[in-house]
Amino acid sequence: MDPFDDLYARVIVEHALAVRAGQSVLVEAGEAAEPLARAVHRRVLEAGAHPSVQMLPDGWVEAKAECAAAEVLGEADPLKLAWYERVDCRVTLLALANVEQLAHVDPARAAASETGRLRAVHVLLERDVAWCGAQYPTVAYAQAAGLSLDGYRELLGRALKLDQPDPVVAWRTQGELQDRLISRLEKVDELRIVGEGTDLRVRVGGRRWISACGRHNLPDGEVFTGPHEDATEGIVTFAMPSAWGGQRVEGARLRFEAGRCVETEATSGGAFLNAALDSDAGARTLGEFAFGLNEAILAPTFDTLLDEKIGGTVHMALGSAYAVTGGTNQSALHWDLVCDLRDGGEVYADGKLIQRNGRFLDDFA
Amino acid sequence: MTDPRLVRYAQLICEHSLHIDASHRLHISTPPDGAPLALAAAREAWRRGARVSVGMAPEWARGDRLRFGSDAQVAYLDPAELESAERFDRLLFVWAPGNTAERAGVASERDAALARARAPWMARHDEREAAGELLWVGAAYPTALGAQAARMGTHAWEQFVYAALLLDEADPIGAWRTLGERHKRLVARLTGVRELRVTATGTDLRVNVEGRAWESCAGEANLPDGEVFCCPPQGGVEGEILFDVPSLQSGRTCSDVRLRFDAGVVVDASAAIGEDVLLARLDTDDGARRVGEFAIGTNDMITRAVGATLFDEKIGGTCHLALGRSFPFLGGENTSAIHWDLIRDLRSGGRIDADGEPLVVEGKLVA
Repeated sequence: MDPFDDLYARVIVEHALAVRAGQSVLVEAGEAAEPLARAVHRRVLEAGAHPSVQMLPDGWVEAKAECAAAEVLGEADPLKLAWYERVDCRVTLLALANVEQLAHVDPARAAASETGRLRAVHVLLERDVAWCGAQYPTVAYAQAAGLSLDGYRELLGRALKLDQPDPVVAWRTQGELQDRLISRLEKVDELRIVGEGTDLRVRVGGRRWISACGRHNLPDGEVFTGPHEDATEGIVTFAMPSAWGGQRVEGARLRFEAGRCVETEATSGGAFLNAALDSDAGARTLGEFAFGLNEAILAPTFDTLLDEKIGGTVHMALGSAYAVTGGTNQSALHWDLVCDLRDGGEVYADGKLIQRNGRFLDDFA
Repeated sequence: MTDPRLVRYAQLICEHSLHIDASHRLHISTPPDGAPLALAAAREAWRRGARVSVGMAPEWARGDRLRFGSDAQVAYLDPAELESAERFDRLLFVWAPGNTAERAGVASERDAALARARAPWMARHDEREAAGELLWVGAAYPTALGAQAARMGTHAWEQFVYAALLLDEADPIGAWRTLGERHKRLVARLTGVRELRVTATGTDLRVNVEGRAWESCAGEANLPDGEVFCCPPQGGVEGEILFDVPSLQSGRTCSDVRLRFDAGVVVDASAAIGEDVLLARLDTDDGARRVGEFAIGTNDMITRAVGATLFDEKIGGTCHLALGRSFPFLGGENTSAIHWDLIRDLRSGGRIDADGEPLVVEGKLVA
């Protein structure tokens, strides 16, 4: 077995899912992630639990988005529901063969496809299930990131802390660091983000900050909260491209008034952005605000899962809030947009500078 | 690019075998090697408005569970798996063989324990099928390892499989319906027949079929297909038969199997290769020495045996007889843990007479 797969499997089974004997564990995997699926399956067996592996054929999501009736497309998959209603743990090994698989599809259908997926995921979130989405290196991700497959695999390995003497311990250490940051952020009422094309105020006082350190996303490394729904004010520019439901938007600039996005601009994908914002009443309000804290991810990979974790960035999501944060916004949308602050950006907490050029000042973190 | 034959195959499955419309929920079960057919069938079913889910389990999952799992892990059936049997009314099983030796070195008791763990799922499946709540079809898909098992090149196997599926015909669905019509005439001819006598080299066998219904198989539940069969009454098989088409059983080949029947029970058995496998299977249980099915193969596009029963039993001009389990819906009374189809080629010198009248001569139906 490849040590990459075996180490990664250990992080998933011991750290992310914390699998216990007797549990029922669903392993979903894209075709390219078959070696990791096998390593996870093996470690789940060793933990005395019951693994089931379900692979997703390459091209399935694309075919469904093209062919299924609109009503069917927006529904949860009945097989996934049967599983999600019962399992104790579920990990999805993300391994796309083509990151642009939905680029040619009618935006409304692409959005419906994502809604259908989220409807099934919602069942997991409502139950006390350990769940995780874990990225596997594929040629498609490498190409999108402008890297060779080996280069991407190395990047991902570092982002997952597989290069550390004990990756599970390294994730616990990251968790402690994030907990210290949260103890500072908990006292903050208003955050102000300043940078190129950006001057945005977000109210977070009284809301709960959550540490994401490898339980639900791999790679991981962020702290997030649900900002006050009526208080976001100002302009924010997202230089990094972002995708939702397979559709990509670049150079987005949003203006907020009293918590709602009232004006948009984008260098590309603007029509889809506006369609997404008009999709329901909650789509124009932020549901999440977060600091990226993974220092091993440096350059954008054009994949939100990784880019939103880049140390020195903040990201915010239009649409649904995570109830655990105290955020109340509801929407079918949850679109993360990443703002890079490493070159001249500043963050102020209740008027006091706490971060410059993407680095927290020593007296804050 | 999708092979145009796959698109026709998907239409055949959705239209002819499963009659899929917008009211249906289709579950596709496939090994990873069968993904192209699973995708093509899913596209067709979605276009018809149906809901479609796929279960694609890698081949190693079962082997690893057997090798590394505890007895409790081997005997586990996930409740979600059992629940999934309730949520669909159309099932497609893609038959795309991978490594036939994947479970080599695994103790057969453990494999049997894993199979037993799935029994509740099978039982629910059978109940729902009997209640008319679901339709299923098993559909072959050509793979490199399937070709290797058939001892052919990969491309040659692909051509062979698609020809057997009648997908080279201008109208494959029409071609299967035409075969169904031919079967109706054959079934009409067989209905009322009291005794069939099979004669060929090393073979003179009399099978009592009196009062039994004959079933036509023309692509409803097997693809490829092409046979008519019945479940003969107990006790009515007499004489000797030499099965000249080899049969692969749990990775072992049995060839030139000879059986002698007395009052419906195998009383003497031998094989040129795999005699130990043959004798062990006959001792499985009481029903394993009795006949559960007698059938005539009618697929003229399958012209030679390839070592896979799904294909070989359909060869036009052959007959086969199954030892073991019969089908209650056709009046079958025999029960057994096995259902083993053994095949006799009638195309050189063989014949079947029905109550003394020629029915099959030199493999050709005399109708």
